[in-house]
Amino acid sequence: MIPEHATLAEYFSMGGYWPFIWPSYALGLVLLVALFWISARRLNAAERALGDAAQDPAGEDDATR
Amino acid sequence: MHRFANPGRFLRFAARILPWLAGATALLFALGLYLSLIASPPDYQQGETVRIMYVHVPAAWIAMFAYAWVGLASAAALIWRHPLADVAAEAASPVGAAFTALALVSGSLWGRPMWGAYWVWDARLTSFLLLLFLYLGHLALLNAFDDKSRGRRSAALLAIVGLINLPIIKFSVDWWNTLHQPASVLRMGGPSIDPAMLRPLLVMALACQCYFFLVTFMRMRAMLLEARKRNLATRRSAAAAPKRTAVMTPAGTPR
Repeated sequence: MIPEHATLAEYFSMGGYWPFIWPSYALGLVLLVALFWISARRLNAAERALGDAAQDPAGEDDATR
Repeated sequence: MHRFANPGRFLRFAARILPWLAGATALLFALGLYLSLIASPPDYQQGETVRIMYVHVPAAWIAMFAYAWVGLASAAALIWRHPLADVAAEAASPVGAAFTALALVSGSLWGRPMWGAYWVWDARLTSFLLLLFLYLGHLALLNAFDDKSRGRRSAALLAIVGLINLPIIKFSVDWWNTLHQPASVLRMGGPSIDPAMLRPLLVMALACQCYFFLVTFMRMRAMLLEARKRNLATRRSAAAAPKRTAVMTPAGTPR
């Protein structure tokens, strides 16, 4: 059920309601991408920090060898 | 549920499931956006603005689901002192807050062309605004104390008290005269919405649900790894500190 639009401009105008529809989707995109990005960076940093700590030569784990 | 309620086990579980959740989230959003923006028809009354529903309604559902998650995890943290429960509540709170803000703003953008107003102080909108304040209060309390465990306890109490707002939001459209339309999917007697519009709505809802688990589990894993790093550092500095046991029992102390 694909609606037929004469032009792409007509599609993007969304029957004149584009100022309400596109910002809704845009805000959703911005919020979800930003939160994902922040969380992914935090997870990467935590994984890297723990990896470094595990290989710390002065660390307790290696001293017991 | 109980099987994964051990931080070490959860870390392994999260590492395994996160790639699958990421893939499912991306696929569902791609399909959901196609259905919402291209393959679904305009409404006979609302015209193209009905497409705002595919953002607004899933965002509102997940905002409420996330709050239930935060509230129940907080209760588990206070009652059983479970280390994973605190982390679950803290990790999910920003995700819920984001969906709440999205539901409020997209609702406002839908209200303007359909009701003629961006905002009205009716029961549904007001109780949903309260949900945003509950999230913001929860996040503020988590970071308000130098002693992290005190912050978590106060935040948990607020989250539990705030649970009462969830049924108020859900039934506000039935209990009070509101401008907001009543439920059309989760209602007695089945959905009153055309399948061509129900499909994109449900796919987008599923996408948002996957996104919630994806980002919440990522944050939980990060928080657990950070805690493990802190513990490791504390143990190391304790091991590296000079031994003082001799000083603590001075010679000549009567036995």
